[in-house]
Amino acid sequence: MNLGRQTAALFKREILNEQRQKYALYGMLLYVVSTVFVAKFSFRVIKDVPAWNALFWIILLFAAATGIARSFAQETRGRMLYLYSIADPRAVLLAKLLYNCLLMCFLGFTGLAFYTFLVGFPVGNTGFFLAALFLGCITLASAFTMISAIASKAGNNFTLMAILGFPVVLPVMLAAIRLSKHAADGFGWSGGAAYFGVLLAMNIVVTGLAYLLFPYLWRD
Amino acid sequence: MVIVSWKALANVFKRSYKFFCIVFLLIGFAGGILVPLAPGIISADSSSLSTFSGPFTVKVFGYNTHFRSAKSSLQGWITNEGKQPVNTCATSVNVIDDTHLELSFPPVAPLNDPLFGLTVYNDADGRLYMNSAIATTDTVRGGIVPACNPVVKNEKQDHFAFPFRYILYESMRNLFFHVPMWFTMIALLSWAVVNNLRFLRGFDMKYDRMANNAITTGIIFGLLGLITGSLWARVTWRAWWVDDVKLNGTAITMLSYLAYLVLRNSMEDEQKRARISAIYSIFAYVMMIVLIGVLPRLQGTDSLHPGNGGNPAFSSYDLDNSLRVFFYPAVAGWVLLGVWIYSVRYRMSNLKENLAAAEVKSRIA
Repeated sequence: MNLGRQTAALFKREILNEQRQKYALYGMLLYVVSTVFVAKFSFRVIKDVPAWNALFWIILLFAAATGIARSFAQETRGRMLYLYSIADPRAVLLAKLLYNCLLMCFLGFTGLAFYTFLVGFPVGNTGFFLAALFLGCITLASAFTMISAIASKAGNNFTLMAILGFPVVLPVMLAAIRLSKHAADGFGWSGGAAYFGVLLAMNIVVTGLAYLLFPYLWRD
Repeated sequence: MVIVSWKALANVFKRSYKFFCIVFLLIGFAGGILVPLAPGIISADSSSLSTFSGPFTVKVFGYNTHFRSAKSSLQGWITNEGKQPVNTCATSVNVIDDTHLELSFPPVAPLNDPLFGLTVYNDADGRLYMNSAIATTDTVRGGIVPACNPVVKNEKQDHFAFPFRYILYESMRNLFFHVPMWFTMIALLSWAVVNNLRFLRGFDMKYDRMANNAITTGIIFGLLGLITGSLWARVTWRAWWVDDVKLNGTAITMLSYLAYLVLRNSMEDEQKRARISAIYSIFAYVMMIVLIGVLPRLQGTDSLHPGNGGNPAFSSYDLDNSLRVFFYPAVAGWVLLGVWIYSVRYRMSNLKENLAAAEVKSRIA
């Protein structure tokens, strides 16, 4: 079996896994929704665009940290060994990466829907904002996937995940917040192209590094 | 054709770099601390410049100037900074001491700009100019301007000095300390990444020790860079820490390398520890490149640093040739000092490793 087919099969397995333990997905959704409610009760309606934007990304950041930390930690050691013995470790990583991207996009867009419903939607350029959200979610997911793999190898505690993840995710957050603020302010593609490029480049770099380095990481 | 092998070159470097390190550092320290700053005007106070009904005086505060000792050639004039600059000479010059001066001017009306540049000239200091030194609130334009042509013999003073820059002043010397720290940190962290990759290729623990010691030494230089930068910011920007992309990027970089230390110490098994920390270190390095190499250079970011956020680079107008003479040796000296510290640490870790191995052997025997 080649890498692509292995990845597809493992990706299906991830989705199946999620379907079997729906509580985890619902838990994350509930997490996002309740944080949005907290935002709603503390601010009522946010008219200030930078604050609206930053708060939304902070909610997403914590959703990503809690959601994706699970991805390697939930697998038992035996199950991991079994996966590695039947498949290429890179396929395992790619499947997790793809699944986490999907998960983050789902959380991001449903989160945005609730956020819009409760707190408001002061965005000027909606299309550009959604593109920024999509790219930001994918980059967050890929950054956290690798960090989650590293943290799960090193004792698997949440503190370590936060410590390791923070510096890697911060530049991603910075670029994502700037980009989506640019879109929310109603500006078009021309001015935001630099941040779009940075975010895209960061995504490629993080994914590439994860792809290249993961085979060294999984062995015990 | 002469063929020089890398090994021979490396040997020459190994034998001589400490010598060069000391020499370069001495040049950097001596030049950075002892060479005086060129004379200049710090500030100019004017009395009643808003009316122009009568003559007025301008108090000039100089720095490293020779107002008293070169009194005979002293002249002062103000220049209205319009499209066609017109000079107005002082009618009398009252020298208080070498750095204090009072210039008396006849009534002047601004031509087309409320700002006046101030020039003080004497043979010892050359031409000292302060941009927009005095301003008027007078709205009358196109009045009488008593024009004159000052006589200037030598434009610049001829002895060796650092350029006089407004706001920077003496703190300019920090260039020889603040910037080399970053060069050293980048050099050491790059060396660490090279060794991380070498480690992942063959899992030789030697490379892990190299990388780890390069990172710990690099962190020291990064912290020194932050401290020297913070001091410089206090002097020039009036705050220990400002919201600047470059500062934030560096802070995050330092945090990620501190996280590396935490990660490293959280594992017991040596091989596993080496492997995982190598992977994280490569990650952190790439993030550092993005944070302090790419993000600050984007247009539209707020940065006070030269060369960032659309600002012109230091060298394009500020890095005077007199600074270069000391800047390059200082950079080389600090980088070599970093290499020196690193190599001592590395050899120490090797010795510790050998000791541990010997102990294990003796216990088995």
